Amino acid sequence: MATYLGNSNEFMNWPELMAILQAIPPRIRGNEQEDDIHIGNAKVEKLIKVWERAGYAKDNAAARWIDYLPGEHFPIEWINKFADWAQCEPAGCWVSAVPPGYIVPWHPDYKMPEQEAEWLAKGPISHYSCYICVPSFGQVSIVDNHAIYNPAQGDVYIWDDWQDWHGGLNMGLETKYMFNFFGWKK
Amino acid sequence: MTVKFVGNFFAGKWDSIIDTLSVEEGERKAFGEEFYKNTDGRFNENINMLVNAGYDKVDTVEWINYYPGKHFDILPVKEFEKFVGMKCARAWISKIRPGKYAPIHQDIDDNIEEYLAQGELFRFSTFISQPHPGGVFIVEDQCFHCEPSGNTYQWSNYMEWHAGGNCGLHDKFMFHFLGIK
Repeated sequence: MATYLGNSNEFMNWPELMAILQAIPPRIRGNEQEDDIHIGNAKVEKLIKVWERAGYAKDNAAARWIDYLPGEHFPIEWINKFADWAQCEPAGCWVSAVPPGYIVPWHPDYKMPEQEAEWLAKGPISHYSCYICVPSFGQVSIVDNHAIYNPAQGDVYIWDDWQDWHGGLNMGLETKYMFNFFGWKK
Repeated sequence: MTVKFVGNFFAGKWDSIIDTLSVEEGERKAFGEEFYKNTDGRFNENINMLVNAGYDKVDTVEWINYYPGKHFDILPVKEFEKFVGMKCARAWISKIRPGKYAPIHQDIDDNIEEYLAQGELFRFSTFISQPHPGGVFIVEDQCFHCEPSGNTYQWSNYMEWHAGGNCGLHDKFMFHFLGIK
C-alpha cells in the first residue's frame, strides 16, 4: 500500500509544471509499446502474457497512458527539487498521465535486471507518488489493495515497496497527472 | 456521506450465481451499441459529455448487464426486497471486464416515471465478486475498492453520478437494485 507523507505545494510549484506539460506532446505508452522499452526483459514479457490472459489484447487501445520525462519533456531541475523535499538522492522520475478512458493495467514497475541490481546495490529504493493536478471525478490510483481517490494537488504518498503492484483509472472528464519518483533516502 | 453501508447481503452465495453467468452472454453496453433505450433522447446529454471527453475514440467503454429471470434466477431479487424492505422496480447484475469502464454517468431510466408513480425510489449497490485489486466503483466523492462479497450500500439519491472501472486482472461483478418504498 501507499502511506500519505504530506503536501508538497509550499515547496513545489505544480501548476507551473502542469503548464509546461500541457503545452507539449507527450509520449504515448501502452501494452504494445512496453516491450520496446524493455526488450528481452523476462519479467515484462511474462507481465504482458498475464495481461493478455486477463483480456488486455496486445493491440488494445484500452491499455494506454502517456508520460513525460525529465530532460526531454520538462527541465531536470524538477527531480532535484523534489528530491530535496523528500530528502532523497534521486534515482529517476517521470510524470504519468491518464486521459479519460485510458487505463493503466495492473503491474509493478520493472526495470532492466542490470539496472535493478545496480540500484539495489546502492540501498533500498523508495517510491513516491505526487498528485500534481487538481482532483477531478473518476481519477483513481491503486497501490496493492489501497485505492487513492481525490487527493489534493501536491499530496505525496510513499509506497511500502518500490515495486508494489499498481494500476490507474480515469472514468471522469479531465486528464489525471502524477509525478513519480524513485530515490534513496538520505 | 453520499453512500451508506447497510449490511452484507447473500454472503457466500454470489460465487455460484457468478458461475452461472459464465454461460450467459448478457447485454453488452458500449459505444455503437445500446446504452439505454433512450427512446426520447433523455440520455443524449450524458452521451455527448462522454463523446466530448473522448470516450468514443477509445475501446474502453463497456459493461455487460444480466437481468433476473432472463440471465439469472430471481431468488436474490426476492431476498433483497426482504433485506431492504422495498419492492423492486429494477434489478440487474453488471460485469466490468479488465480494461473496461462504465464512465461517469447517471442511470437515466426510460421507465422512471412509471416507478416514481408507485412511490419514493432508493438505489442500492452490492459488491458480489470476490475482492480483487483494480476493480473500482465510484459514487460522487466515494471510491470503493476491494469490498468483500455481499457488502451493500444505499445511495443518498438514486440519480447520483457514478462510474465503474477495472484496471485489474479479474472480472468485477456488482448487483444493483432500484427499490420502491
